[in-house]
Amino acid sequence: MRRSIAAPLLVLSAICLAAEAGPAKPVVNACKSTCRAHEVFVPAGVYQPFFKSGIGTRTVPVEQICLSATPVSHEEYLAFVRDHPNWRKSRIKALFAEDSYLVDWQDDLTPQPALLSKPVTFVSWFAAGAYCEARGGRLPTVAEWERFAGGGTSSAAPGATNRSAAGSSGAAPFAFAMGKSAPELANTALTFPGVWEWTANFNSALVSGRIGTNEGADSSQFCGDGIRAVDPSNYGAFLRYSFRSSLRANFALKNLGFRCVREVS
Amino acid sequence: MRLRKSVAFPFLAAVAMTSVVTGDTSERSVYQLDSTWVEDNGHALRLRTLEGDMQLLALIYTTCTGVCPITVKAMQMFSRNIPADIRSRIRYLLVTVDPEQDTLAVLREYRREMKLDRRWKLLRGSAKDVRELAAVLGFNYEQIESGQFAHSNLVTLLDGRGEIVHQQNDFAGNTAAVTEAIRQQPR
Repeated sequence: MRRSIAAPLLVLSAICLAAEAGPAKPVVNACKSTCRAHEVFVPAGVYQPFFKSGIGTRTVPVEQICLSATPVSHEEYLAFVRDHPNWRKSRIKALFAEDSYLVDWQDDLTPQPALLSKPVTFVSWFAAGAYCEARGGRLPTVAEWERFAGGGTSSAAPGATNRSAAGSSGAAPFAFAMGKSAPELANTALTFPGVWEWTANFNSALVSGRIGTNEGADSSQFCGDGIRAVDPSNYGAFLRYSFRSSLRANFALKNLGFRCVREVS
Repeated sequence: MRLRKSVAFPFLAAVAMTSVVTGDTSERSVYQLDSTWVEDNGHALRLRTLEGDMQLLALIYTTCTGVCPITVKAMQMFSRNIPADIRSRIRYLLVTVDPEQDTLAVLREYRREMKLDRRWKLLRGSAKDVRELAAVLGFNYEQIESGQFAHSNLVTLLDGRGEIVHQQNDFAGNTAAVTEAIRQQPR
């Protein structure tokens, strides 16, 4: 689907990219303006993976994206299942979502009224991906998510900051690990209301940096691998990486929601 | 942009939108994934067409210097020494996690090199479809630098309907478990 619309968009995106190389300001605004009202523009940048790859640290370039400012709400998800009956809870296949899928909804089309504006949870990776695709986007990659929501990359001192944030938030006990705007996005509408979020490649080999031998990951995902973390004091990142590694694609969990990104074009 | 280029199989355009397949496929069948793959011989393949035989499945990449050659070798040893009573009930499936490097030509060369017979299918798909298949199998992987991946070491047995009936990550050292799992499947 994405591919079929790629050709016309390529032209625009080339303009956007080429212009960016020149004097910056007006162009970024031009790219920004392609983002929708509820989205935040995230400029291109670099992400440093949390775990070293055996040889040492590395960086991954991240393209500019339009990012939903908030996780998808019950209300938005309701509109999606209205239009896509296969994703209603009575119709969903076990491969795509476990039994707890939308378990807090009364029936196929009835979320709890009080939750309408709150992030939808109890959704699987498949369901989240299908939602984003239906909206012309996709789930963010781990690299993208960590870059915009990891609270900043290598330069910051996230360990201490994260822990104090935990104490002050008063929300979910792990809210401090569930997202914190990158410094450059601090003054945007980007918010993290205290749910974990799906990523496109949540099933990346994690924790172990040893090539091809990582299935020891289960046993080493938390303690043993601290030594390979780029910043071992980044407790929030440890939590996120180990949480992601514990997921299966059909899981539907109480504290796990999602948001979408769209490629800038 | 880069991603789009690397997965630009023009014929995939029509099916890139994943949707739930309805019909009589089992609810837990991996074959519900509506993705199209290409065999090393150039033939397009829908997963549903694999229904019937059991499949022993591994995700690999051909330039892997770590565990994958051992896994494939072990699968091959298994396929050669498989007890006669189950020999005809099972096929072998290798799916590359590195479609960028593992072109069809590379896969054909790999087939020759590893002396894989006609019971084996070697599949290439888009990066997105590989990610999806891996997610269903519980196979984790990540490209950690050019040409190298960190990945699970997982071998999966699918029954004739495409349901996961057995998985292990110590296949190379313990093929008896798969033999047992195959025998347990109703004929």
